[in-house]
Amino acid sequence: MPTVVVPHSPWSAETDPGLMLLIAEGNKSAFTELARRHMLAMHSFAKRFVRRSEADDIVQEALTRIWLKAGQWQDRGISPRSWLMRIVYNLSMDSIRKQPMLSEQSSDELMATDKAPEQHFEQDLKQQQLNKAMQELPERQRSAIMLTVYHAMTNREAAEVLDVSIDALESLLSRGRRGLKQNISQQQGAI
Amino acid sequence: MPTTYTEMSVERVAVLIESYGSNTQCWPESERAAAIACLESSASLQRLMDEAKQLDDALLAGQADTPVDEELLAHIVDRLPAQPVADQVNKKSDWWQQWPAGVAAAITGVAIMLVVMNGPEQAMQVEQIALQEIDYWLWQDVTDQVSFDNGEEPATDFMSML
Repeated sequence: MPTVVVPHSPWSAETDPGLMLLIAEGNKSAFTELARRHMLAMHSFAKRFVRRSEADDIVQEALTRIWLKAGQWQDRGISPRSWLMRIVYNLSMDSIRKQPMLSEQSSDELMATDKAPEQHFEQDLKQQQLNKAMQELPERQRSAIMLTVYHAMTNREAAEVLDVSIDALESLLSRGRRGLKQNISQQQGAI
Repeated sequence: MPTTYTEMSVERVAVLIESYGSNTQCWPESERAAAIACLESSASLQRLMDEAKQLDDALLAGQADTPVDEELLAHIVDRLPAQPVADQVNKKSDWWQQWPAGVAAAITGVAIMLVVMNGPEQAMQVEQIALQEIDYWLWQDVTDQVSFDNGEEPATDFMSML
């Protein structure tokens, strides 16, 4: 396993809003720090909607937009993390609309994790059932669950990403989690 | 504006668990403390919490910790385009916003000169003709914009937010 050398960043103690102000002034080092902080979450969120290779493109496009529009960030009234995730979400949705076939790809591929193949069969089966149950949810409900569970976003941040009110987010989450439980019990009943 | 709750009810905590799951950090900040206090005193809420935790644990079980793709990051940073110059953008928008005011000021100036030279009636006629001309140009600008929009593929809501 090769050792990954992470370059030291002079901005590691800087907050995200502070980095955005520096990025707006053209500071590439601050941009690299912000990108490093959020790239994994962006990539993992995009991968829930599109193929891995396309997720790379979406992350690149989202970060480039942040670089180009950093000066407008304060006008938007949302956190940098929410803004990044909103761009990733919007680009993913655009991609699905342009290539509808992608949305029909197997849930196994979309929800694939980096687990070792030797892991227990039973655990894999459980995970597959859960992945399938998630894929069967309406897209907005699925996204709301991903943001709050996988990315541990606050209600405000998740609402900002999906561009809905907090009450609407709560409704999406509540229906989503109910639907998820229902889908899981249906699958277990079918086995 | 989200709804605010001064007193926490068992029903409201049940809704919070049902919506946000077992991670109380995701619960609305304004309600969190009161909701946790209410949760601690209710056996039925604790059962709901256990159920939610099972679902959350199952969802998080498949998550793998992977390092940042430094190669992709370097690729992105290397290919960053030049940032737009803010002043140039502002000057352009200022020009579009300010040209009608400039034209109006010029017409007013001409009208004042005509009043001084020939009397108010002729000045009003000249001003009316000039204003009709401006109306025509403004209207043409709007219709040009409409035909331009029709000629392009409609932008999605998602793109317009960026």
